[in-house]
Amino acid sequence: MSYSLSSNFLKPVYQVTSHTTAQSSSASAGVLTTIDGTALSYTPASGATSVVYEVSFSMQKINDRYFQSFRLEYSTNGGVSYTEFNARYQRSVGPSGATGQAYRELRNFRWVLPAWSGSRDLRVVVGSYATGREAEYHGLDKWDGASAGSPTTVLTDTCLMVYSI
Amino acid sequence: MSYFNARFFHRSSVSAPARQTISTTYTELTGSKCAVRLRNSSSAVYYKYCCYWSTYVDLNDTSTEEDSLIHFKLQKSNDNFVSNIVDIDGSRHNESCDTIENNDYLFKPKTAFYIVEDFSGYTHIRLVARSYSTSQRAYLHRTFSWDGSNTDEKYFNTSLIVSELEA
Repeated sequence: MSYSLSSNFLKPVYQVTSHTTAQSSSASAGVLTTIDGTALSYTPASGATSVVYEVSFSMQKINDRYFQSFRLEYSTNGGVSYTEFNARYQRSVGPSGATGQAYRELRNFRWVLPAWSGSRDLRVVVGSYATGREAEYHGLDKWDGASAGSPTTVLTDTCLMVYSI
Repeated sequence: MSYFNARFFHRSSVSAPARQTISTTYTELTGSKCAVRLRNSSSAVYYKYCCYWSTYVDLNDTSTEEDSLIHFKLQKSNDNFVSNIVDIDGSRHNESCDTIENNDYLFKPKTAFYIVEDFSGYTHIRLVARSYSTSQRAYLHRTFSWDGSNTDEKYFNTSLIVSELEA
């Protein structure tokens, strides 16, 4: 069933980021890295009560099990400094504590945030729980039934959309 | 004077989908295909599909267990995938359980969210998947395990939203 509506999303802003290399999170605990393709400036629509930030990117293990923590941040001074929206928006992802874990996935986050006034620079940062728990983003180690090479030539775009409700 | 800007929007769900076994041939995922009619041919396409997937295992008979590794990609077409089938660059991604140790089972919903910026000249979009090898297959949409039983099969309805995004 299909519909035609006058407006599907309120003041949507979107971006697709193609990557040429994979990106790794820090191998050190407490060191946060911005995930390429997640940074975007947004001013909510007038009268909006909430803002939706939705993003997807691929991730996979590097050496062994990963344990990654994500948080959403904003800046009101042109990116000079960033503040976390709220700790309730933090997300941690990781397989079991056993060794020899090789998970892969397309990670999708959808945050519904209180609206704000003016423009904010938004981004998603990621950190590792401990050394050895880092992950690799955007690149795929295997594709079409074979190794994708090292460095890989098979990468997943980061897709991001922000809109008001 | 008033104006009506009709942007394309589609939403659908497949109720009680049959189990799909993903093996080494690319297969269209149930409920993932959509006929797209953009108002503006230069518009981008918002695509969001959700389904359930698991390792290839029946916990009532674990002799069938396989550690799953699945390749996913979006495709577009101008003839409903009869002869024109085009892979969408940048949509390729993997889903897997642990593929090092044996007997690592995984059961989870999956969301595939994309924005496709180049859709001019095309009319259909879908998500396809294949396994890495014949011994790393996966199940979609149904599980044997629920409420403490491994013989009470349950299903997860698929959902799909496709929307026009004008620049």
